[in-house]
Parts: sequence; structure tokens; C-alpha cells
Amino acid sequence: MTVIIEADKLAKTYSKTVPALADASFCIEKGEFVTLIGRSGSGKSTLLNILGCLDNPTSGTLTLDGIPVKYQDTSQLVTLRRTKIGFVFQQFNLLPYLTARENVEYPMLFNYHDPKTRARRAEDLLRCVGLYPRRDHHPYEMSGGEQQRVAIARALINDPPIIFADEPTGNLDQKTSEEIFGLMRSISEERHTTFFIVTHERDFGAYADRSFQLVDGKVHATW
Amino acid sequence: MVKLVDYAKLSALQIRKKKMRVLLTAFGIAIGIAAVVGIISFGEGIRYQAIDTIKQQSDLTLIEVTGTVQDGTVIPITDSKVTMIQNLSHVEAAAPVYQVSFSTLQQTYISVTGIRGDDFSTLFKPTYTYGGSFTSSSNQIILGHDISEKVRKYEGIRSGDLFTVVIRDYDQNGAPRDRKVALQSVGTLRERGDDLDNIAIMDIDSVKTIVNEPMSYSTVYVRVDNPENVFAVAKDIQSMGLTVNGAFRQIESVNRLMDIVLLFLSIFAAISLVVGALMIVNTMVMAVYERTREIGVSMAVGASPGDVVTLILIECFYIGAIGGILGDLLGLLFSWIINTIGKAYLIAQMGDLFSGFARYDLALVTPQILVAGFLLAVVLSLVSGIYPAVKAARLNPVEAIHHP
Repeated sequence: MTVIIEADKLAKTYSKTVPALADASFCIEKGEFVTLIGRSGSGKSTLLNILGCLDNPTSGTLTLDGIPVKYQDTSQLVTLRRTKIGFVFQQFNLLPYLTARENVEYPMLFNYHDPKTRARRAEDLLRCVGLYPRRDHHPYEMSGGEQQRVAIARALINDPPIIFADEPTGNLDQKTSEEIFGLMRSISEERHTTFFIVTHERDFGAYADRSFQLVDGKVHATW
Repeated sequence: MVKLVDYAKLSALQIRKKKMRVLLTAFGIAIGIAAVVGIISFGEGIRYQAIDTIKQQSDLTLIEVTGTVQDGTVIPITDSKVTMIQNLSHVEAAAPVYQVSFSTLQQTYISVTGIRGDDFSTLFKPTYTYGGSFTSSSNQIILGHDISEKVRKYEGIRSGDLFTVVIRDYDQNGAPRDRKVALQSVGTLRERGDDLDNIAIMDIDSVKTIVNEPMSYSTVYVRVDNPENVFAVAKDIQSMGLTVNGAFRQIESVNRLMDIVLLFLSIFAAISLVVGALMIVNTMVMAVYERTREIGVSMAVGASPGDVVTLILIECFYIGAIGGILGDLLGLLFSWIINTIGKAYLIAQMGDLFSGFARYDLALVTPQILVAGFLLAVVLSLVSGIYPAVKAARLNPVEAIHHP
């Protein structure tokens, strides 16, 4: 197995006294399905943003798919976000004026693929998340669960090895949440994609290969 | 390129979302453009009218070339320079002349131009009220309309008369010695309204013989084939170190004056453009603020700061393009109002004196003005977009994604 995420003593302090994240060190292997469980304010989002190259750590190093991340190098961060990382958000964050298919295509716009390739890939992914018949619908015509499925398809469009999800089921009911977790799990197995999911609900740890816990900025692996 | 088309489509969606706001902003810039287009068209109309009047009243294709005084020394017109002028393209004819002054017995001074007979007829196309041209190497002389009146009135010399002029030479001691020469008036020119009315014309060789001392040419008269080429020919001759004059100089002065007038008027009109540009800045800063989350998400899924700048600037381009088209249309409307209502009012107020205006449009809208107006609107919008675009590109993605 190859290591895809390697965090070494990642730390982030906003004020001098309270560390948001303290010395997080761990390795995650390719295709692993990992959940990070912690109460709100425990530094989960901070860790996720640092891993997702959206935020920079105060100290420590991160290696993604063998590439050491240089947080000061904006163009490297852009390339990493384009090729290595997909994001799923709690608020879905689909663009309201685009259809489901256009939303899925959206990240590819910045990667300069020709329109035909884009449309074909987007349609394949919508089929994969079970929303192909609704490809021409706008987000406001869809339920929360459907919007999150579109968002998952969007995260997969550039075929990244890693998907980061920040409370992906935080805005969904129990039944839909289970469906979404099930979908992510099956995608992870099928495509061998690494999932790193932040959640505050312990129950979903059951879907994971491994579950981390974050208490007061410190990472504990549960199993 | 494909990328740019995609961005253009995406930005078009943004523009479509807020039609009213875009239209109002575009109108802000359009009013400024319309003011500039209207004022410049009005100025161009006046310029056209002035130049057209000059063209009708004067002989535009005639250039007068004289020697130049440079650092106190005279650069004379030599035969080789005359040949160079004759060989310039667009020059139909170029004739060197001598200019001298003879006095009659009663002390009336006559300015005499010595020129070859055929040059005289090709360059000036003279028409006569009496007689015709001189023969070469003779003592025959043609009198201009005014000078012929003058000598008839004061000296009783009529057309066809033989009359005497006095040539004053100086001997070795500097004492004047007068010589008397008999000239025969063979032709009188019809009134022309130019310098030719006040001078007499003789054959160039006769003048040289009569004066009987070394002279250099005073002037070369140049006839250009077409009014459009006058400026080019004048420039070529100037580069030989000679001085050029003629009716085209008046056009130059009109152009220079109108350039300054238009520049000042445009500066005032441009103030409204500044207001329009500030409106665009405001609209786009608002748009960026409203879309903070969307921009954050775009960055998370792979948009670079450059992509964000491009997207915002394309939106500004749309606003500018809409503003430019609206501005041109409004400018055309302005000019139309000046040309119909304004002109009627002016003629009514000024009376017959200005009836000449009736032939002209007061405001002249040229395609160049419209294109310039459109480009101005687009450039201004893009410049206005720089601040909001950079602001958007500098957003912190983490904060932007969690923006309410």
C-alpha cells in the first residue's frame, strides 16, 4: 500500500495561548476511508483546511501523493487542488445558476478540458451517483441529499486521489446521511479513492476503515 | 482560447442574473461616452465646415516654396533643388521664379514675377480681360487686375501700351545709376482674389536680362495633383530645408485650433466618464462581496487567483461593451438633435448670414468616433474592474467558503 497523506507535526495557533491544532502526525494510505470525529471547535476544520491546501499550518509538514506541500507557493497549491484533491462541503456549495451537469463540470473549467470530454465525464459521474435523469435541473429544484450527490460528483470530476469532506451530512437527515455515507464508501472501494471525512457524529465511524478523534487540537487514532 | 470562451459563458450567466443592475451601471458609462461622442462630433462638424470653406475659397493645391534663413545664413533655392522638387511624386508642376520690383517714371512700384510662359499657364491657369501671354525673351508683360487699374489711374498706362520703367544700379562707388527700360503691356488678368492681382508677370529670362546681375530664385511654385497629397508633398519639401507656404497652412491652423478646443471639451466630458467608472467599481465590489462564498468554492475546486481575476474582468468587459454600444447610440441621438433642432434654431437666430450652415451638418459622427467611444468604454470598464478583481483574487478561501 502507498501512503497518500503524510502529516508530520502539523500545528496551527491562532492566538499564542490556545493551539487550534497541536502536532498532528499520521499517515493515510491510498484508498483508505477515514473519518475524523470531534466536537465543534475541536480543530477538525482547521486540520481539514490544512490538509486540503486551503490554509497553511504554523509549523509541520505535509506530503500529498508523494509531493511535499509548499504552502507559500500559490501556483503549487492551485495545481494540487486541481489534480490531487476534491472537496465536499457541509453547505453543498453548488453554483445556483448552473445545472447539475454544469456544476459537476465546473472544476474542469479551470483545467482546460474540451467541452465534449467535460460533458461526457460529468454525465458518467452523475450516473454513478444516480442523478443522471436530473442532469439538467438546477440546485434549487433538488433536495439536500441530491445536491450533496451532485457535489460528490463534482469532487470526483478531475479524478483526484483524495476527497476531503467537511461535515458532508451536517445538513441532512439521518436516512439521507446514511445514503450519502454509503455512496462515498462504495465510490471509495470502486475507484480506490481516499476519503477523509470530518464529522461530529460518532455513528458514521462504522463506515470507516479508520477513525481519528480530535480532542483539544490533539489527534488520537481510535483503531 | 477554449478556456476564455468558457469563462465568457460563465460571466455571461453572472451578468444575466442581475440585468437591471448591469444596465444601470452600463448607462452610467454610456452617458459619459455619449457626451464625448456628441462633443467630438460637433467639433468635427465645425472643423469640416471650416476646412471645406477654405478649400472652396482658396487654391489648395498650390504650394509656395521659399528659401530658409538658418542661423543667419540663407539657404537658397538652387537648380538642383528645383529638380528634386519636380521629381517628387504627386507634383504636377514646379516652376522657379524671380521676384523683382520695377519703378515707373512716376515712382509707382510694380512687383514683377519672372516665370516661364508655359509654367505660368499650367500653374495658374490664367484668364485675360485683355490680350494674352507674353512671348519668351521679350519685353512683354502681363499685369494683374489691381496693378493694371492702379497704373491706368495714376499714370495713364492702358492695356497694350508701351511704358517705361526705371532700373536702379549702383556703380563701384555706390552711387545710383538709373537705367530706363521700355516694357509692353500685352495682357491683363481677370480679377482672381489672390496675390496675382497685385503683380505683373514677365518671362523669366527677360527679367534676368533686364536686372543683369546674378540672382537666385526667390520662390518655387508647386502644383500638387490632389488636395489630399498637399501635406505629404509639403513635408517632403520641408525636409529639403526649404520653407513652404500656401492655403494648406490655413487648414493646418484650423486643425491645430480644433485639436486644442476638442481636447478641452473632451476633458470636461470625461469627468462624467470618471463618475461612470466609479459606478462600475462600486457595482463590481458589491458583486464580489455577494459572491464571496462562490469565489471561495471556485478556489477550493481549482480556480487560480488569475482565473478569478479573468472572470471578474470579463464581467467588466460586458458592462463596458453594453455601455459603449448604449453610449454610441445616445451619442448618435445627441448629434441628430444638434443637426435638426440645433441647426434650425441657429439659422433662425442668426438669419441669412448663417444660411451657409444649411448645407452642412453641425455635428459630424464618423465611424472612427464611434469605434473610439466603444473602445473607451471597454478600456475604462476593464480598468475599473482591476480593484474588485484583485480584491476577489486575494480572498482567503477558508474564510470565503464560510461567508454567510
